[in-house]
Order: sequence, then C-alpha cells, then structure tokens
Amino acid sequence: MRTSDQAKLKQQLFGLWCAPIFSVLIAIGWLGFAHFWQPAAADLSAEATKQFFTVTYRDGMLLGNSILIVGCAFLVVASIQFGLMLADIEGRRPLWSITAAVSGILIAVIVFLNGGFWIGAAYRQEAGADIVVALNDTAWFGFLLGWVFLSLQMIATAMVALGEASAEPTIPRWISKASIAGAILLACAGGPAFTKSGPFAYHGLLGFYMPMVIWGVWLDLHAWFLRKSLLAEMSISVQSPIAVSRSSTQVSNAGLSK
Amino acid sequence: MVISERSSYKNQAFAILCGPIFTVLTLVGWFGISQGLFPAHADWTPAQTAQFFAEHQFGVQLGCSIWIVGCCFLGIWVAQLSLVMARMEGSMPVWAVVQALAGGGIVVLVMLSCCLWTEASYRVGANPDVIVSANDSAWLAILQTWPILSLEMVATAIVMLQDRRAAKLVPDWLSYASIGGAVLLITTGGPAFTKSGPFAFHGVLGYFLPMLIWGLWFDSHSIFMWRALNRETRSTNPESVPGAAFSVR
Repeated sequence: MRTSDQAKLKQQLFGLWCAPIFSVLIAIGWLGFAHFWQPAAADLSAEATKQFFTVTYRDGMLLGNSILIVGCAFLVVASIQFGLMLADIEGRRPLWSITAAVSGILIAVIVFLNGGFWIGAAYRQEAGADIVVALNDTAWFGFLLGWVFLSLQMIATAMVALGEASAEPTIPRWISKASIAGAILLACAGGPAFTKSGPFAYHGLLGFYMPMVIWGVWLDLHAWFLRKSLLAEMSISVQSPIAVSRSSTQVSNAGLSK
Repeated sequence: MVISERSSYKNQAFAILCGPIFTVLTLVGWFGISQGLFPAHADWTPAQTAQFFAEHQFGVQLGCSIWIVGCCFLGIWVAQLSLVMARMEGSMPVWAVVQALAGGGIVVLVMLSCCLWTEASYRVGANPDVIVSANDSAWLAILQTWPILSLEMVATAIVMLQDRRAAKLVPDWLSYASIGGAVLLITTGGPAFTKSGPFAFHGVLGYFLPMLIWGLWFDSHSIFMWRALNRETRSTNPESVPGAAFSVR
C-alpha cells in the first residue's frame, strides 16, 4: 500500500523539522552539557586537558556527546529531505542535490565519530594524559577539518537554488549568495591544523565559533524556507488533492530520475 | 526541468573533471607535500617515527589539509558516477546506490586518516607512543578498508558489463581489469599482519600497488565518462559543442 500524499507531505515536514531538532540537541547536549561552548583550549597542558575531560566535566562529556550522537540521526534525515526537495527544483539527473544530501550524511558520520572520540577522552579516569590529549585532538580535527564537506553542501545547495528560474524562488537568492560567502569563510576552520593558540586554534573565534554560527544559521534558515515551501504545497493539497498528487509524483520522480 | 540542458551538461562535465582534480590534489598534497611517497616505515622505532613527524610537521599538516579538500571533489565524482549508473540500471539502481555508499565511505576514511596524520604531527614533543598509535591508526583506516574500494569497483564493473548499447560507456576490457584490480586489492589487507617487507604499510604490495590500482581505475573511468557525456550531448543537442563546456560566451 502506498503512503497517502498528505501523509507523505507530513513525513517530509518532519524531515525538515529534524534540522532544528539537531540544532537544539547540539546546543543543549554538546555546547551545554559537554561544555563545548568553552572547550579545553588547544594550548592547555596535557594534565589540564585530562583534568577537564576526566574530572571537571566528565559526566557532562559522556551525556552531552551521547546527545550529540543522537542528534546526528536527525541530521541524516534532514539532509535527505533537503536533497529530495532540491532534486525537485533541479530536475533530471540531480547532481548537486545528491551531492548536498551525501555531504550532509558525511557530516553526520564525521560528527558521530568525533562524539565517540570525546566520550573516549572522558571515559577512563585512569588513562594517561597523552592519550586524552590525542583523542581530543583527533576529535577536533575531524570536526573542524571536515569543513570542506559543509562548504560543499552549502555550495551545492546554493547552485540548485540560484538555478531556480522562478520569480519567487524556494530559497531567496540573497541567502544562496550569502551561503556561498559563508562556504568560503568556512576555510578558517582549516586553521586548527596549524596552530594551538589565537583565533585560528580549535578553541578560537575563527577556527571554531564562526564556523559553528555559519553552520547553524545556514541549516536552520534553509529548513525554514523549505518548510514554507512545503506548507504551501500542503495547503494546495487540501484544496486540490489531484494537484498535490501530481506534485508529489514529481518529487519522487525527481529523486529517482534517470 | 528547471535547470537548462546546457547547465546540466556543464554540471556533469565539471563533476567528471572532479576526478582528475582529486588525482592532482592527491599527488600534490599527499604524495608530494605530505611525504606520502616516502612515508614513515611501519618497523621504525617510536622515536624515529616521532622524529619523522617533527621534521615534516608543516608538510603533513598542509598536505593532509589539501587531501581533505580533494575529498570534496572525490565526493562530487562519486555522485556523478552514481547518476550515470542509476540511469543505466533503471528503476531499481541497486549497484548505483552501492557504489555511492562505498564511494562516500572512502571519502570519510581518507578524511579520517588525514585527521589522524595531522594529529600525529600536531604536537612536537608528544609521547612517541601516541604518535605511533595515531600513525598506525591512520594507515590501517585507509588500507585495511580495501574491501570498500573493491566493492565500489566491482559494483561499477557489474553495471558496465551489462551495458547493451553499441557504444558502451566503459569498454568490457576495462571492467574485467577492474574486477582483476578489485581482487588484487586484497594485498592491502597485509599491513595488519606485518611491519616490514612488501606487505607492510610502506610496502609495494601493501600500499603502492593499491594506490596505483585506485588511481588507474578512477582516472580511466573519468576519461570514458567524459567521452560518453560528450557523445550523448552531441546526439541530443548538436549545438552543445563538448569541448566548449567551459567556454566563455
């Protein structure tokens, strides 16, 4: 039995809601409980880093990163929903929509792995300080040096959105242009590989905080505008079930188009 | 279709070109700057390994950062190959999806290894055991996962061999060679069991041969995808001159 069109649209709406749900989970779990709003600095001594992870914020680390990992599941759903709606705009052979969706999934996998490394850093209170530092460094490099995939997702999305030949595009053009600028600015997140202090370090303004703001704003703004478009589609479906039937068929065809 | 045929062609042409771009970034970033051509040996002492990463600290950091950027291009190329395969397979493109998942997995693994190598070089003076551990983990992550590359190669070959068109996208000899290469990749499983000789992670069979197979598979498929795209564009839209894909008008 096929899912009804209204049910399908509701599921898609949930897919979009997964983006703000992820944002809330990362804000509460990771930034809050795990204290990453003010993380252990890269230039902290090994002993101080160990103290940070295995004593001072140990429980928060374990709980907060576990919440972060749960959040990754929502990010996967949101990324796929973004990809499906972009594919509807892009039409046949939706290269950039698939690229955007896959990039989002890769980001979720990377973030999940980093959550695991941070849990590992806090896990054994008797572990050597060098090991804790190594796990923390690895987690940060995965988290921040993976900026390229976020940039790719943002640029791929912007390319589809800017290519939409409509007077009222699903995603406003100024957002797509700002996304491209944001994707370029994300290069700052590559800085932590080369320094342990200053704004480019992994606890720095340009290495960490700015990329996080760009990510959050991009994700939630896009979810908002795609939701607006989907709600408009839902209201059409209530008025004319045949119209939305066609529309939904287009969505699924675009996603699987040859 | 919201995007024009010409734009679609340009997008696809760029996606195929991402293959050689990834190759260049790998050669420059990984093999060149990051010392991937002359890596630290698996049988070195921790002190020697630590010294290697201290000496090449900036090179490893820069080279691995370049290779991570390269992973983006690899991801786009994988997406394009998946679309091409999905079109050939029809309504249930199982091998195209398998190829996409395997290709995406490789992107993550390359990135993960780069992060571990960056970590190995990050703190000069760190405990050498930690540096060795990071280096070993990086190598094992990228080499021990050879079945994923084999799977990607075999999945692609299966679809290409079933191509019934007169002008095949990929010649059969290349698909058979890909299957042969996918089998040969088993030598990449060697580094888990030895620290010296040809199967070590700095050895001919454990590392250099698999890298060569990967590169040849990757770039030969890029060439044939490029040719097929131009052929197809010529037949559907004669005005789109393939060579002028990126021409300024």
